[in-house]
Order: sequence, then C-alpha cells, then structure tokens
Amino acid sequence: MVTSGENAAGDTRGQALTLEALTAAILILAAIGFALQMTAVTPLSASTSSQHVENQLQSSSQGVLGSAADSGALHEAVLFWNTTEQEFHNVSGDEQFYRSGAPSNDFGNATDQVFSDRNVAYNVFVHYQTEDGVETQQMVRQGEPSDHAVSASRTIELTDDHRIVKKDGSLNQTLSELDDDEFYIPQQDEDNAHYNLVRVEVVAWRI
Amino acid sequence: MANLGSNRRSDRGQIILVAAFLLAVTFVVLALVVNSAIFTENLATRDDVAGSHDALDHRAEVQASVGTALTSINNENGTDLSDKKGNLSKSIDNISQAGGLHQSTQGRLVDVNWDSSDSEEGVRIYQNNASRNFSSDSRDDDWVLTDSGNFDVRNFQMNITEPEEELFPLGGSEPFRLVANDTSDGDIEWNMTVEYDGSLPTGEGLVVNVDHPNHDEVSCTHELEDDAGFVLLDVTGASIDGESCHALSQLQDEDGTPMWFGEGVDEYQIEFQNADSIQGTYSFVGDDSMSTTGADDHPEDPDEAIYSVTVDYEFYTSQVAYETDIRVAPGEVPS
Amino acid sequence: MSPSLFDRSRPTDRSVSVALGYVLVLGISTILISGLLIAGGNFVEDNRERVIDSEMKVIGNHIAGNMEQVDRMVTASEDNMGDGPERAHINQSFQRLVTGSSYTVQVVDGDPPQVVLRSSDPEVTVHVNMTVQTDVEERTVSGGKISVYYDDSGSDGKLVITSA
Repeated sequence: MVTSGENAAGDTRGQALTLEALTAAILILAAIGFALQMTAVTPLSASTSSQHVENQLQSSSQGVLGSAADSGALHEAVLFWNTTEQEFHNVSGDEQFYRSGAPSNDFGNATDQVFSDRNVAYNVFVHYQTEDGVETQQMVRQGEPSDHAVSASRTIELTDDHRIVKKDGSLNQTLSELDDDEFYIPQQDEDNAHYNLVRVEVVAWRI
Repeated sequence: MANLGSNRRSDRGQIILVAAFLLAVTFVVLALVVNSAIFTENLATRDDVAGSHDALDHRAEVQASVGTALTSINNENGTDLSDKKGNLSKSIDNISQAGGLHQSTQGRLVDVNWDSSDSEEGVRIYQNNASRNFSSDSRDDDWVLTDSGNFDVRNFQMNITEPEEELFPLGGSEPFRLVANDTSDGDIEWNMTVEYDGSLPTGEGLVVNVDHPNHDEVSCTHELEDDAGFVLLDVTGASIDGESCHALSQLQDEDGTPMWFGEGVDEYQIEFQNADSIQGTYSFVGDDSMSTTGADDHPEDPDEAIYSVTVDYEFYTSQVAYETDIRVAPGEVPS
Repeated sequence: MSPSLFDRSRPTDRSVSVALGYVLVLGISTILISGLLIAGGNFVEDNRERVIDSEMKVIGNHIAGNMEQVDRMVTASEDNMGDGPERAHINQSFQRLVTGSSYTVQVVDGDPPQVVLRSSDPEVTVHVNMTVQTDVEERTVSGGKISVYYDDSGSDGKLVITSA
C-alpha cells in the first residue's frame, strides 16, 4: 500500500519493515514452540508402570498379608520348613526357596489366587533377627523385580511353643526343642517365651 | 515510532511487532498455567504421607505380637504370676527391640513399653490331657466350672480329638453343651452344643449350635478333613479350624445380632453338660472377678494367669506421630 | 505494490487527509490487535481458574484424607482403651501458591464437616467433604505446610489443623 510517489526513503524502510515483520514472526513461533514443550507425559498416562496400577498392587499385597496373618496362614508359611533337608517343603530344584510357583500351603494358595491370575509376579522374603542384625531368607523367587515393583510387609511374632509344620500340614516339634542348625530362624533369647520377631515382605510387580 | 507524517506504513510494522511480543507473553503465561495443571495431576496420583497408614497398621501388629507372647506365657502350666510377668516383661522388651530394628529399616521410630503393674490378673482354667473327656475330676458329666459372677472370659479354645468317634451324632439327645448360666433367673442362659454330622453331602462335619435369650438358635457347620484326628474350636474367636463361624460371632442380618459367648446374660457361671460326649483339651482365661471356690473339682488346678496388659506404643516418622496405650487381651469377645 | 521512484504523484492526489489516514490505519490495527490480546487474556484467565479449581480440589482431598486418617487413629485408641491417644499428628507440605495465587484452608464443622479452600487472586472456592467421628475445630490457615493433629486439652478431643 505504499503510495506511489514516495521518496527514496521507502526503500530502506522496506527492509526495516521486513526485518520487523520477521522478528515478530520469529518471536511468535518461538513462544509457540516453548509453550508446546510444556505438555508432558504424566504419571497417569496409561502404561504398565502407571501410578494407579502401583497403588492398587500395593493395596492388594497388603491385603493378602493381612488376611494371611489373621487366619494363621502366615505363621504356617514361615514354619513350613523341612528340618532335615534345610529347605521349605516341596521345593523344586536345589535352592531352599520356591521358584516360579507358590508354596503348597494356605498362604501360597492365597497369593496364587491374588497374583498369578492377574499377571503379577512376586518375591517373598522373610526377615528375621540374629545377633548380627537383620538377615533375610528368601521364600519365593519369581524373577528380578521391575522398576515399578511395590513392597508390602507384615510383622509376626514367633514364640517358643510354636511348632514346625510338616509337609502335610500337621504339627511337629516346638521351636524350643529344635537344634540351632535345624531351622533357619535362630532363637533370639532363651530365658523367655519370645523366639523371634519376623517380618514377611512381598515384592510384587506387573509383567 | 517512525516519522508519523511521511511514512505511515512503518507504524503498522511496529504495531505488529508489539502485538507479536504481547502474544508471546500470553503464550508463556499459558505455558505456566499448563505446567501447574500437569503438576496437579502428578500431585493427585501421589499416595498419602508415607507412614500415615503404617502408624495404625503397625499398632495392630504390635497388639497381635504381644498377644501371641501373652498367650504362650499363660499356657505354661505351673508357673506363678510373678514368673509370668517377668517372662512377659522380657518378651515385650525383645519384641520392642526387634520391632524397632525392623521398622528403622523403613525409616520409622517405634517403641513399645510395658510397666508390669499395668496388667489385669486372672485365672486360667484348662485341661491338657487330649485323650480325656471334659468331665470333672470326679468324673461328673454335668458340672460347674466357675462361681457365678459378672466376669469376662477370653481365649476359650477347645481342641476336640477324634470327633467322629467321641462327639455325639446330630439329632442325638445328649450332645456336649457349654453353658453360661444365669442362675438368678431360671431359663436365662447362653449355650453352645457341638455335634458330629456324618451325612453331609461333602463328607463328615462338625455342627455347632448357639442359643441365647435374645435370639433363636443358630448353627454353623464345618467340614472335617479326612483323617485329621482333631478339630480346633475357638469359641471366643468364633472359628473352627481357622474358618470363621457366624453362629459364634455375629449374624449378617439387619441388626448384626451378636452371638458371642456370654451374649444375653450378665451374671453367669460356666457349666459343662454331657461332658462325656466330647474328648480333648480346653483352655480359657477369666478376669479377676472369676472365682472357682464354689465350683466342682477341676481335672487340673486352675493357674494364676495374666488377663490383659496395657502397653505404651509410640510410632514416629518425620511427618507422622502416634503415641497411645494399647490394651492387649487376645481372644476377648467384642463388647 | 512498490511505487515507481520516478512517479511524481503525491499522496494528496488521493484526496484523503494525512491525519485521517493515519488515524484509520493506526486505529483499526490497534483495535484488531488489542481485541486479539483481550481474547487471549480471557482465555488464559479462564484456564487459570480451572487449573486453580482442580489444584485446590487435589490439595483439599489430601488434607481431608489426612484428617480422616488421624480420626481413625483416635477412634482406634478410643475403641480399645476408652480414651484418645496421647499424640497423633500428620504433617504434609503442599505448595504455597496455586498457579500464582495464594490460598487459605478452612475447616468447617457441619453435617458433614468440610474442608473449604479459597484462592485469593481469581476468587475460587472449593469444598471437600470428609467423614470423621471425632469433633473438628473450626479454623482457617493459609496454604503451605499443613499439620493435622489431635488435641485433647479440652473436654472432648478434637481434630485441629494448623500451619506447621
């Protein structure tokens, strides 16, 4: 819209105008580019590692442990030990713990029902007290946990008159009658009823 | 602005530039707003403060652990009260120290303390001989175990051996009956019968019937495993072999009618009837209002026992604190 | 559109005065562009209010959750011992500003008790219900670090909220 007849000043002005228009365009584009980078993947985006999945897995793990502790199944699982072979009952393979399957007791049935049907793998640890601090015995190992595994724990008390459980579920000797090397959990203190305080930990993750 | 007079065109260019600048500022502010929205979504997914649920969960664990130790100590026959208290005090110290160690690996400070004067004393009545029926020392089949009084009883457990042979079959006239009898008023009593039923579709079972003044009789059935040889009946804990029995706890009707031991009677004495129709061991602990001076002879002398203890529980994390007393009385009936 | 430099026609041929032309061009473009900016500003403000609303809802729900948890701790002690705990509190840090605006948190007793959050700059109010069995004390605190604790110094125990 330059009116014809403008003097030579319009020439240089044209370049300045272009420059200003270009600057304006670059400014807007840069601002839009900056703004678009603000959108991001949030923890609620659907994926196997979504926060909701983790929270739900935590709740169901806690629930399984709680109901097992109330019904006595957790005590039975911790005491489900073969004193001659120094391993849990019905373990396949060379290790002391269960691989890929669940223990063949009520606690194993419960975890099987809650986890295996839903494509969740889990490891179970038993933490117990020794003179040198807290040591760990693995009960179930189904693999290496992913980055988004959750952990739930339950503490139970073992007393001297609790009994080792045999393969068929019946009761055997009391803990105080056992020798030191027959059971993986040592007696913490001899002159009272307390045998040991044990923490059962379940680590679960979605596969 | 360029010279207004001669070159109007330049004004437009610079207005466009200013407008572009202001729009860019708008976009940046929008970006801040969107950033806040994303942060909000993130905040919404976060779990509650770490340890806030565990303060309460661990309280239940401590209650259960101390209860386990208390039951084990009470079951030691022939020890007197001060021995039991000393044993319990050391056990609780061990539990506190071990529990504190476990919890400290998760970043929490937990302490459990017991002052041995903080306890209720009681009496434990029991029979340890698993091949004997529930009759009194002088072989009476209907006998009275305690004096009449307003007392509480907890952890009433029966280990019934050889149920197929010893229990009375269903429909028989004289099944074993446990009675909480209010002697002041003739018919008022809470009672429970235990019978054997060999005709269940799935095999053989145990039938428990409970009756009390405020409700009709209710029964529950438990299937026996083959060749089990024994059944564990927890009267105050309302379970048979670990499986819960609604006839001993609470019905699932509109009012949630309670059926617990001693429901419907205030003052009572505990009686066994047809004690030859059952065999095994039994044990229960009563508080200090329970006495046995006027009762029939027990097969084993009642022991001094600890009825309940009150421990001091502390739970601290950097953001949560919970300090309270916990009264531990394992197997007590809800009031 | 480039004028021939050798053209000799002058602007005055167009019989439009300089001032009017100037006013028209400048005015129209200013009006158009400021219209664009006002619309943009309103858009941002609208979205800001929405984000503040959802942020305060999230914060309010967290605070209500903490109060319900402390209430559960208190009722557990009361059911077991007949008396409340000696101490029960939960602290949590929230952001001090929601999208650039400060806010206040108020606990209102009622049926049901509520946590009310109000932001100051765009005035947005959010109500969150909570279910508690213990009494609550009515109090207003500013956003930021919030502590919910059980206070049994009075005749009945109460849940109190305070800035930590």
